[in-house]
Amino acid sequence: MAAVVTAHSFPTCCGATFLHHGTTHSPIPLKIILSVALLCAATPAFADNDRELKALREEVAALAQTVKTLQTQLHTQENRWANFNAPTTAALPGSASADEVAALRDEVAALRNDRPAPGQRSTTGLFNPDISGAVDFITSYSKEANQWNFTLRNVELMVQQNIDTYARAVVTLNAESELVPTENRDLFEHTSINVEEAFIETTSLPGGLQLRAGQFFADFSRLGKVHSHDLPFVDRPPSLDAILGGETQARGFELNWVPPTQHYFRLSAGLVDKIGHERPITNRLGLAAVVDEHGHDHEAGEDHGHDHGEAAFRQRENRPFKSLTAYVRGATLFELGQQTILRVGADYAQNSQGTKRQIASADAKLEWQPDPASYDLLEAGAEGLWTREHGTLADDALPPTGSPNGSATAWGGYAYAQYRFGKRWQPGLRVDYLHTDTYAEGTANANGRESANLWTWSTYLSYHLSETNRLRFQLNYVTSDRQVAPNGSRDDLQAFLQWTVLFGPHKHPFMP
Amino acid sequence: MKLLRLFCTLLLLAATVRGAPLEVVTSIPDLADFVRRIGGDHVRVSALATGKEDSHNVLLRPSMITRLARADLFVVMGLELEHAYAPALLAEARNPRLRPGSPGYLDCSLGITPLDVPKRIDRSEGDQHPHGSPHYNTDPLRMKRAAEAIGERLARLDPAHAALYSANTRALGAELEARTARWKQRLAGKRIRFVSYHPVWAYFTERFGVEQVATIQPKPGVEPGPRAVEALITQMREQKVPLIIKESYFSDRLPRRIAAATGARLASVPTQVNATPAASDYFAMMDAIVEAFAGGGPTP
Repeated sequence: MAAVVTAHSFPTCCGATFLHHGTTHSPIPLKIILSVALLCAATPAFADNDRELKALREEVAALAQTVKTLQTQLHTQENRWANFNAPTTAALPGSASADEVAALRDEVAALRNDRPAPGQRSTTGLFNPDISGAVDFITSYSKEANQWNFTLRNVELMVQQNIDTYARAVVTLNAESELVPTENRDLFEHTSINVEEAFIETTSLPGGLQLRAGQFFADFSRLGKVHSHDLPFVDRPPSLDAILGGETQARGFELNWVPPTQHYFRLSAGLVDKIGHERPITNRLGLAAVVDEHGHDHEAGEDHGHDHGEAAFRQRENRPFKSLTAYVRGATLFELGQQTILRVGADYAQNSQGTKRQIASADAKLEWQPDPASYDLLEAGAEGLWTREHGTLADDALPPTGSPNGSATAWGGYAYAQYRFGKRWQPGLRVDYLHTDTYAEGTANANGRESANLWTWSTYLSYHLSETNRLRFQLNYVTSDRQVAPNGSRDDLQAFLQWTVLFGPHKHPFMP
Repeated sequence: MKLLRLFCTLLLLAATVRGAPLEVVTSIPDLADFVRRIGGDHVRVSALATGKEDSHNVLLRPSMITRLARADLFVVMGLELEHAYAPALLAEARNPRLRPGSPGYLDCSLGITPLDVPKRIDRSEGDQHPHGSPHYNTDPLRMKRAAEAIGERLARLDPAHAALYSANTRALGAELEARTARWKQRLAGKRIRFVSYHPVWAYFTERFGVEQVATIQPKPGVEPGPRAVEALITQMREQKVPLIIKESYFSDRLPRRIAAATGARLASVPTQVNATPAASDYFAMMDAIVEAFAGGGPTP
């Protein structure tokens, strides 16, 4: 066997490899030895001492011979390995044992630090970013509306990569449509591909800090920041959808901090243009909202929460600082034994864009793994949300008497529990409640105020064909003291069949 | 100025106190066992996985993040064994010392020759590991190379105790070689053919000369349908395969059925340290594995 017992390789900036041989004789490469020897030779103290210089030269020559011998042995090993084609337990005829051959292969692999790669790849290709995608197809049915829909809700393409030592970038392109089983519409037909997320985040800030800038899903609420296809259910819980307005899409800055303490805790704070992709419930039901730079009111019911469109874009120009949305979230986790984890969090957000809007939420999630030596997992989560919007009422929402100012509030929440039996089956239950207390057109009572309640009871069953391929069936029973279907019914039974596939290295960050 | 002086003093104090044990986190308990044997009292080590679970399916716990945030060294098996959880945990831990490529990040697979490297990367072939199987912990001589990498890295991070780490590494290597010879002797002279649940035995079969006939999963990570089970039973009967190896984290329901239909012996085997009560350390785990192949060992 060769004298080399250990080795590492250090790639240099130009892609060359510098081999550092840890040998039983000397770990020092020839060039360094020569340099040191010459440096020593140039020192006056040694220059006068011919005998020491001669001894040093002899030592260098001996070391050079050792390195040469080792290089020869390395080449011999590599040639022997090259001739050893297939992994086998049989010994080469008249040669080393299988163990020796395997050990030889390991040593050569370690020396070369060159793992057999599947196919040839160019150096340029190695720097390509990670690309992943998702397709989320849903068939929905509403009993009261007698309506079938085929909805391609989510087509996502995500590209992410470390930019350098200091930052990472993520871009998510998405074509997404709304899931409305009671209406015959598929917004996907009219939707072009949008930039859902495009942000830069730091990777090297000290003290556990991380800064994010761009357009991203704000760290706000538990399920609000989860992509639609990654939700535990087919639809986003109605209370979350109504109060936040879909996903927590935001544009601006977010700073989050994980302090270097014994207990895990994460604090996030952001300053963004808005939170939520769609209009929140309070904004839909009566309040006059924003005033653009020309002083024109956008009446309630207009699409001023949406990103797209020139009008919406104009709203972002010359906006006062107080119109920005500021938010904060604190979250932590507790280990209740080896197999149980409790996650809790709380948030608050506020802005004054025409009207003053506040959102607060608190959430918790319990995970229990009954046996680590199985795939079984119980998950139970709940979130309570509250929002209030205060400002000038739209003309058509004015009460018969009193001030044109008013407020709309909504509160509610959801709770769910699901159990994963092995790798494939995962049934679950969910209940959702939404209460709205708003000024409403036409149906206002004597005080110009109207309340509404919406309950949604759901049961669902997920079937994981693999880690990247999932089928899910869900039934929703919706009941309200208001109309929930086009035929005027106050309750409805809805069914969903969802098929979600992921491709590529699908990566999502840890979410406390 | 006083504040600056105090800050500098604290910095110096911190540098002096640096003689505290190295904080090491490993992905699986096998590596933690090795770090403990090599580092002795000069390291404080813990593993992320408990050892009982499928090593690809680790429940994320908050203490993992806080441990990684403080760690001086993170040791992984590599070959994407930890890809489902380590990148997200490292990102959240925000510890620049553990950035892949830094001295604080050690991928032990860089010193070994992988087996089962797929010829074609395609998800239709199941849960593939593009660079080869990461389950080389069942080969004690490959793990000897992992031990050498750990010893070198500890010496680099803590040069004051390099001699001790080097001696302990040599002792561990010698023990691994001696035990391997004994395990080989235990399995010698038997033509052991077996079916396993999941393809994790490539390194073990190469090292110890046992013969894997098939896997219950038709492709890695893909559960078999009724037809695949019937085909496997037929194949086992025709080839008179006498042994079913079930990795301890899989349910024994289907392996029991196949064992009943074929008359094969069913053995539940640990694939990580702490996977079963018997596998209390690396040598005990290998003892249990070898015994299960040799004919003894527990049945589920």
